[in-house]
Parts: sequence; structure tokens; C-alpha cells
Amino acid sequence: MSLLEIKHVAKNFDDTVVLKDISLNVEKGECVTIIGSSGSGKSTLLRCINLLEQPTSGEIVFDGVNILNKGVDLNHVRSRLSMVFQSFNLFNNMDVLSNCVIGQVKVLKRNKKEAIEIAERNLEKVGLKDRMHFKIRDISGGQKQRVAIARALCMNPDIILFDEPTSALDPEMVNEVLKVMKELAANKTTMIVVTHEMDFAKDVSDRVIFMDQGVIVADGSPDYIFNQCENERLQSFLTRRHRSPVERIKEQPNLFHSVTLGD
Amino acid sequence: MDIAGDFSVLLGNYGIFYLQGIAATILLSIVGTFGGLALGIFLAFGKKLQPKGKRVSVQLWQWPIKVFCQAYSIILRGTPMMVQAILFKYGTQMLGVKWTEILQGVPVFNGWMVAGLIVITLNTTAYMGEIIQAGLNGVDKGQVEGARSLGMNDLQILFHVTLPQAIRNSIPTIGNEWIVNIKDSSVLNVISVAELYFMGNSAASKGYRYFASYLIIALIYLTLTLIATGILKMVEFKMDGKKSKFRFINVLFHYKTKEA
Repeated sequence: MSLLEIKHVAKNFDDTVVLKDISLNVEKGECVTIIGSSGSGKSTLLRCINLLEQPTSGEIVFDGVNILNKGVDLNHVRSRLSMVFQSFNLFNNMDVLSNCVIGQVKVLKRNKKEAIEIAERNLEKVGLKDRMHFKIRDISGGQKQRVAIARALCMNPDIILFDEPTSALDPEMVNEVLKVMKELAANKTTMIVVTHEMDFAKDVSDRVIFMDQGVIVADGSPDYIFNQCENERLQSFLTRRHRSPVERIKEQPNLFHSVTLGD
Repeated sequence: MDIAGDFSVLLGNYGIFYLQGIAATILLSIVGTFGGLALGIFLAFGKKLQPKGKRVSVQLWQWPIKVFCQAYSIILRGTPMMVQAILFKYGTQMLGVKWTEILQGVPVFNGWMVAGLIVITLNTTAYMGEIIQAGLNGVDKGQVEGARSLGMNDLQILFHVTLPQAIRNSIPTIGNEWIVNIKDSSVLNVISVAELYFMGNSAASKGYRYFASYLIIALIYLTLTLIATGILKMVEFKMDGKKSKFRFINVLFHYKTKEA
């Protein structure tokens, strides 16, 4: 049995269909990346997994239990499925250490001393132990995202969900976050990563899923997805990403019209 | 007219009147503001309840609370505190409450003070409810999602994440209520609360020295509001953890302490 089994999940926002019949299994220790263009439903899928969005239909079986069943302790499930957000979502009214401690004390009912020790250990892991008494607004974007990862780790989750963790960062800060994520993957942490970082998908993940318009189009090893799969939509997505901005502008005839006239 | 002479008579013979008035006004404004804040937080919770579409048993207690809180807020903000004070005075008198017998002999609490404290607190509650509600609405949705993703429940999120941020962001507006209360407590003279306006008026009437006495009161009110402004700026300053030194004089000339 897989750690996480998503069966025929669909999600509508009013009349808009965002996810259509998604089925997906994630094994323990696996690092799965989900790629796809904006609006393909990959973030919504991730948010459905820890029930920040309620799927319209389908089943999500986590550790043998369908978490969509009534009577399932939602908060307990969420504490085992930590999430790292694009916009960090760290608590602005606390310092770095308290951000990592509060969930442990309030949700896992650990005593404060133990929680602080665990928080310190995880902050050390992401290289921010010296910043633990800083206010959130006094650290950089990359540091914020590393704190968010430490906060997630403190809950000892079974799976960590990453929702475009580097998309809101300046380019020079992306690597410090990716480095931490690579270490997690190397330690066999179960991770589901929605990302636009193709190199991460290629080099680090065990499995890559390509989504387009609310369905899983391709699912396989990085080698299969990037080198072998000949699916048309995947190819168009990958080539589009590799073209330079100038080429992309050239594709839009109206935008480039005034310049080409001079030729 | 000998204003200078009036001043010396008023301050010399009736100085105690003004001191008593200052003490009463400060007490009214502080109790009104903090009491109003505490009750206003509950008012905001009541107004933010969303009973629609919930279980019948939940709707049954949530609807009355929500309707009460909304009505309270509309009525108390839509009528003058002076009128509220008079209604409160005669209304409670009809019910047989004898305000002038409660806490008599305690300095400052003599006469109608207790009634005055209740009126100003109930009035401020309505405004504080509005302020806290706006503060809660202003907290980024991501903060709630972050807390939810850790498995925190709604109450934990409220008390550890959203409410502290709502209050922090509302401190300038909450402080403003305090300053408003320092000035507006003067209307409580209609129910004979012995605050600064009432006492100044009493001193004036002892020898028809109205202009001089009200001038003194005006200066005292101005001093009180300036001190209050300074204290609030200092609180904000400390909370923002600024490294530079806080200078009281800056409050008068640079109203912005927040860096751009």
C-alpha cells in the first residue's frame, strides 16, 4: 500500500473545472515533482491533498484512511502533511524560533523545552540557527523560505508538500532553498513539489508528473519525461520554456508588428 | 475683566477642583478604552460569526449573538454618547439602581462616577468592535493557511496568529479612541460625573469666572491629549523594535514614527 493514494479526485470552483479525475500514488521516501504551465491545476491538487481545498469528488487515502471521510480529524491529518507555500506564510507576529515552536506545542502537545530543542535542530539543518531570534520581517526571502521548511520539518510530517517554493524569490536566493530541498530528498524525505525549476525536477526528483488543463498527462522518471516521452503537450510545454524571452515575444505577431515593418 | 486675577483665584482657591477633574477624566478615558477594547474583541467575534449553512444546533446560538452584536454596534455608534448617558441614568434609576450609593467615599469615585465609567465603556465597545473587526479582516489570508497547514484549530489560529496581528495593526486606531475618550468624557457632565469639564464649570460658577476657567480646562485637555499621543507613539516605537532613541519632542513635530 502506498503512503498516499489519490483516487479520481476532481475539483470545481463554481463552474470552472480545475481538476479532472486525478489518480496518483506516492510511495514513502519518494520525491515527486509536479510540473506544468500556470493554471494547469498543480497547486490546486497540492492544496487538495492537505484539504486547504475540499475536492469536489474522489478519494484521498493517506496512510490507509480516506481523509475526505466525515469524522476524520482534519487538524491531525494536516499536521502530518506539512506544507511550504510560495508566499512563505510565516507568522509575522512571532520570531523565527516561535514560528517553529508554536505548531509543536499547540498541535503535537510537545512540552516547550523539547519543542525548542527540535526547532533548534531543524533550524540548524537549514542553516539558520543564528537567526532564530530574528523577527520575520528582518530576514531575507530565501531565509524566510528556509524557516518555512524548518517549521514544516518540526512537525515530523510524513509528507512535505511544496507549493512553488522558489517562485516568489529573487534569482540569487533560489539556490539556497533548492540546496535545502536537495538535502531533504537525499535523506529520503517524502516530498511532493510543485515547481517551475526544471533542473530540480530533472536532477533531484525520483518521479516527474506533467499536468495540463486539470489532468495528469505524463507520469514517469525524470529521464522518461525529459528525454523519451513524446507526448505533444509535454513537448510543447518543454520547448516553450526553453525558448528565450525574445523568441516568445516574436511568437506574438501583433506585439512585434511595428518592429518587423522596418525589415 | 481681569483674566490674570481670575486665573490666580481659580488655581489658588479651587485648584483641587481641577486636580479632581483631571483624575476623573484620566480614569474615565483609560477604563473606557481598555474595557471597551476587551469587550470590543468579543463584539468583533460576535459580528464575524457565520451561522449561514451550519448545523441547526450551531445556527440556533450563533444567529442571536450575531444579530445582537450587529444591532449593538449600529445603535451605540448611531446615537450621541450624551443621549446614551441620560437614557442610561434614567433607565437604571427606574430599575431602582442607586448609582450615588455605590463606592461613595472612595476618592474620584464619588457621585455618578461608576455610571459614567459604564457608559463610556459600553460606548467605546461599539467602536472597538469595529476596529478589531477591520483588523482581523486585514490579516493576510496566508497567515491562516500557514497555521491551518500545521494543523492548528480555529481558536488556536485566532488567539495565536490573527488576533495578535489584528491588535498590533490596530494600535494607532485604538490609541486614537483613547484620545477621543479623553475629550468626549466631558459630555458625561450631563449625568453629573465629576470629570474635568464638570469640575471646571463648578469652579467657574463660584464667582462667574467662566472664560478663565474654560481656558484652563482647554489647556489641560490639550496637555492630556499630547501626553497620550506621546505614550502611544512610544508604544508603537517599542513594538517596532527601533534602534534609534525615542524622543518625546519628535512626537509633536513628526507624527510619523514608522519608516517608509
